[in-house]
Amino acid sequence: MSTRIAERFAACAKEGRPALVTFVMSGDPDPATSEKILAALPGAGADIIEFGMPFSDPMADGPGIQLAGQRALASGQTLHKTLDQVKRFRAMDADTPVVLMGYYNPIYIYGVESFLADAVAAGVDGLIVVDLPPEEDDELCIPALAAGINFIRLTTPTTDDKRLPAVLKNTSGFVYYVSMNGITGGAIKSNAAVGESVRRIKGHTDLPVAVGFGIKTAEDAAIFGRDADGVVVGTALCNALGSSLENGKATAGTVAAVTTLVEGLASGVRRARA
Amino acid sequence: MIDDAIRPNSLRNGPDEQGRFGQFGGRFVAETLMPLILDLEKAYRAAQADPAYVEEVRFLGEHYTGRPSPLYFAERLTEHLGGAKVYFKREELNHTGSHKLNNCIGQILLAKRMGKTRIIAETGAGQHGVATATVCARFGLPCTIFMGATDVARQRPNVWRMKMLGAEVRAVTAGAGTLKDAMNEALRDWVTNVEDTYYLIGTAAGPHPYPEMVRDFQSVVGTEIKAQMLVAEGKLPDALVACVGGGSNAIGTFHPFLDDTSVKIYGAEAGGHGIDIENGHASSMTGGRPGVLHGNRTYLLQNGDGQILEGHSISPASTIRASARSTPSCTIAAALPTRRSPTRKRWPRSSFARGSRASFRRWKRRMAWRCCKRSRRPCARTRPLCCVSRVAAIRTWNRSASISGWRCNEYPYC
Repeated sequence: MSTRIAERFAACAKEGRPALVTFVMSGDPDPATSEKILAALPGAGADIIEFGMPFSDPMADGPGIQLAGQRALASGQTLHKTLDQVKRFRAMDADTPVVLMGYYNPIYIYGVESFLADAVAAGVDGLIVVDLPPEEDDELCIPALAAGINFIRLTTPTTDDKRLPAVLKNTSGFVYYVSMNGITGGAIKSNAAVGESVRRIKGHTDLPVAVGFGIKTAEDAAIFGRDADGVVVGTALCNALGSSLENGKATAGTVAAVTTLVEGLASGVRRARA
Repeated sequence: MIDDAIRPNSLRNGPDEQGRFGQFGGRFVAETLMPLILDLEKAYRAAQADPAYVEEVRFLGEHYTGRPSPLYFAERLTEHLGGAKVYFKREELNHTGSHKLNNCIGQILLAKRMGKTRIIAETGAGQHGVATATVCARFGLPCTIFMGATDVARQRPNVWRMKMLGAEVRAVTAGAGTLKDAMNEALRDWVTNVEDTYYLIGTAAGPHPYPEMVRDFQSVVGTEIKAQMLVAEGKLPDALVACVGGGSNAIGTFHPFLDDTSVKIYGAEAGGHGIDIENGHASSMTGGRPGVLHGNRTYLLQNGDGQILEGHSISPASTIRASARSTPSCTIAAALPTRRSPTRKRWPRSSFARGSRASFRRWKRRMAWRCCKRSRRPCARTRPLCCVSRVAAIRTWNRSASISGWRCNEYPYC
């Protein structure tokens, strides 16, 4: 089993701060720029990278990530290219964990076995597949764990204590707590409820718990990082990237637009428990 | 007929406990929705076992929908085709004008049992939206309908009907603005309002138990056909034909006949520009392959990277599954139902996609040539295709196209 994720969470805990998990869409706005962003993320302060696998029908995503996926697909991004990008990133950076996040159909069409083999070869550490609940574990989760790739599961406000053990059963790497019932980029109604839920989940598992959906600024990162072992930021980065484009094309400021925001967020997580 | 009880391997079994029909079906949804879907399954099982619920569905079917719908012997079409006796199952005579109400009644009663206070639904051409808006008005529940912006523009009359019934219609601009995108947006709304909202899916799609529920509620169509054919002909039909858009009409028609091996079953999909042309048709079963979308594994039109294609059909509801899935929308009890809108005697120009107009021109040229050829050697089968006026030609095209797979013959009512 890949151990980079566990090591990175442990290192952050040692520093007394939550990990910053950043989501960017592979191929957004074009494969070359996307690769530059990927390479620049660790330097800007990202502890763990979620690399989006674009899908034509992202049912759990809000407009920010939908648009990122559309830009990526329009630029010709495919799952093969995403894996190639991770491979080249891994050649430069042996430590930063990379988690692929997306939907099941592209993986299913790629072929689960060959996808896992290629993902292992590329140096992928984990997978988050939104539309694969525990009830469908045989599809990808069990084979992924057998191949040595972490399968990170989402838990949500609707996952009650009765269901939680089933959700946590085959989860590894970390637990991704979805801060609200909704789509990515929505508004969190109650900060206190999120903190309470994180503590509740931690009562059921030793895995690190990261909070995502709705975290946009360094202040948010500082607030939610108090209780959680990690904070995930995605929509805000996709929006920053989107607003740096001109006529849909990358500009000189595109990479910086993302890294500047990541630097701010990195300072936020460092303030969380200060 | 062999007694069902002694038949060991019925094709009517399923789904299994995982909601699978063989490799198809399943529950491919985000975790937020899983607890709700498990609750829904429990509620449905409890309702099925409750005679009061079963009776209420039946009662409303009879007195509100107007069931049973007639099985009509289409004498002129039978004569024209010169072969089989053709019967139409007249689902368009139901209240709201389609088979969609059968399913909506069953599901809204379930939603009420579950204590849900808000209903959402997706719609392509608008028939399911109208049926949902109708049952919501009947039971006093607020209703939001998601409809692709492209479909909103080309299906105005149904949008008005939904609004008159008190529904909020949200035009979805994401993607191509058709049914697939409407369903994505409905799922996004559902995930956001999961506590109080019931998602009333109208097609044989979505996570388990939706395909099973839609099948069960629509099977009344096939069950009636069976009984009515026995009265009319004293035997089962030799063949069933239903168009395949999203799937509710076809599965409802076919399911009661699946174990009757003497009955041939035909599904007609929208052929668009031809099934060899990528993204140029809406034949997900003939020209697609299995994939996972909207909560279930089914036949999808998709590219080599697993991205879902929009597909092409001049019928909104066929593009539905064009893009997405693999089940149908209208019935011929031994033939095909031609259905025309009371509000639209002619096809509005706007409903012709540019490609479709081109297809039509090509078709007209081909037909003209066939007419010339036929004048030398008359052929009964193609006789009515001689028509020259544009309107008549379009009407004929509607019919012949339905047969040859050009379009869903229930347009614009799927």
